[in-house]
Amino acid sequence: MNEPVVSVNNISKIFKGSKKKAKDFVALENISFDVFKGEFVSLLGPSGCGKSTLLKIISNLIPSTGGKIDIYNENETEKKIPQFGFVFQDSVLLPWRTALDNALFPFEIMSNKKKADEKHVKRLFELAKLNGFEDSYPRQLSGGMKQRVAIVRALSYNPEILLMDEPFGALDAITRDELNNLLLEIWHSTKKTILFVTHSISEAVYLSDRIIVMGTKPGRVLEDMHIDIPRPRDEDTKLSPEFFNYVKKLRVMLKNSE
Amino acid sequence: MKRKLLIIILSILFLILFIGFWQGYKVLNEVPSFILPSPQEVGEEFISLLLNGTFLEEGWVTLYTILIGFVIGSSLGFISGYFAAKSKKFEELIMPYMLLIQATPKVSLIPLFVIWFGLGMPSKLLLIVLSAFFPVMVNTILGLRSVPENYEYLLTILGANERQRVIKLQLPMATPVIFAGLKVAMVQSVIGAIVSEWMAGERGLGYLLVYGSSQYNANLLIASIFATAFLGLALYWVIEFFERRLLFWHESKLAFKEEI
Repeated sequence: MNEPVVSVNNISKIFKGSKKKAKDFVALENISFDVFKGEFVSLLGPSGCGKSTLLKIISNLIPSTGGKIDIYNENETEKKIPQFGFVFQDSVLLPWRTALDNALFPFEIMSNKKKADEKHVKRLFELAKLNGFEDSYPRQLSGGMKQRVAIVRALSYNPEILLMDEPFGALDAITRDELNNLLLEIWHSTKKTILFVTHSISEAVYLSDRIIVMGTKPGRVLEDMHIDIPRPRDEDTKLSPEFFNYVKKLRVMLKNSE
Repeated sequence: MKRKLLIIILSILFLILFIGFWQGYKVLNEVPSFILPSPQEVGEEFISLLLNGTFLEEGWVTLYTILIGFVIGSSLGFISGYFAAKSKKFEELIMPYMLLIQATPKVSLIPLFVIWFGLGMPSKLLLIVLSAFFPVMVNTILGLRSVPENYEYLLTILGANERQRVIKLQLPMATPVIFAGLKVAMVQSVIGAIVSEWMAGERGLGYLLVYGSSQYNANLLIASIFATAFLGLALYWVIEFFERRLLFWHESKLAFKEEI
């Protein structure tokens, strides 16, 4: 077994009631799991199960109330640059910058720590099928294209881990399928470790090596499920009986947890 | 393009209608010229005042007073807005006083300014500064505070420091809202300048209005009103010009969207 890249140990998060009468809200209770190098792991659960909160805790955006996150970074020399690329549900592009300038934005923030690797970014543009749109402004791009630029930006500085918070949740079904396939291609050629938050069962099954299934009240891990569907996966995969079995199993599991 | 042409034609039609109504009203009701001069008389007066330099000289006095007052007032508004947006304590400290000043009709302060500073520049400037200050301050606070959370998260992930946050994210994000404040401030500054020239001026377009009124010179009065309106419009356009330049990326600038 290879080494974990992210280790989540007994994480809990309690939101204190703002008034005296309001009860404390337990968003996450004793969450533990490991993510291994190069793995595609999804956090799947209904809204309110704390999966987005968990992702923000892992990336150190918000503090946990208990437990510990360990990040193992073998690349000692690049300790100072962010270890995560983060893709949000909305693209979070700066509207006054072109697509290329948005993708290069991270280098501007860490100019003294890492030189802009334009070659790498250009390659990512091609990989994301965005060539020709380098000089377009976000307003001129469709929702799917904006999200692709956001992925390129997250990978521009070559972080070890890509965290994605329902990145395709706001897209239409067709664009969503398209971007799922694109994401698999990008994952395949960049060999990143991906932690992917979604509430779509079929999306999680299609993309993941492993699914951490979460339930609500309090947010907790229901099951850590391996998806043993061979890769490369394509649209035909979604019609296979094994795919259907996983979807069914997960649907029943999520229903029973309510 | 067709739409633009239609708008131009419509506004010219409207102007003709307005002048026709004016002329017709005067002729039908036999209004004497000392009460309502004809459009032609006003036009001639306007041109002669323009040619003999009165409008340029008095307009210049009003213009530079507005510009100095506007720059000082909006800069102070921006700076205090910035600090209020950054520090809740500072905001709570200054806000009651700001609201008090804003709630006071500023015209009522002019007689006091005249006692303190006499007639002329300082009194006028002070009024314009007070007029321009508030809209810019309020909008700066609003603009800086309304950066969506995910953008702040993104900069946290990238390890941005406070300076980078302000320069690369918050200020550009706030620019549309700040410009909205600058436009209001400019309109208020023009009003402030004219009103203060009525009461405390010895020069300027506002003074020309008072002078025309005291002489029962409706011709001069109406021509001066037009001059004032043109000045106000021109200054508003200056702000719009810079806004278009800076906010080419913003949804509200649809003209640009058509070009691309």
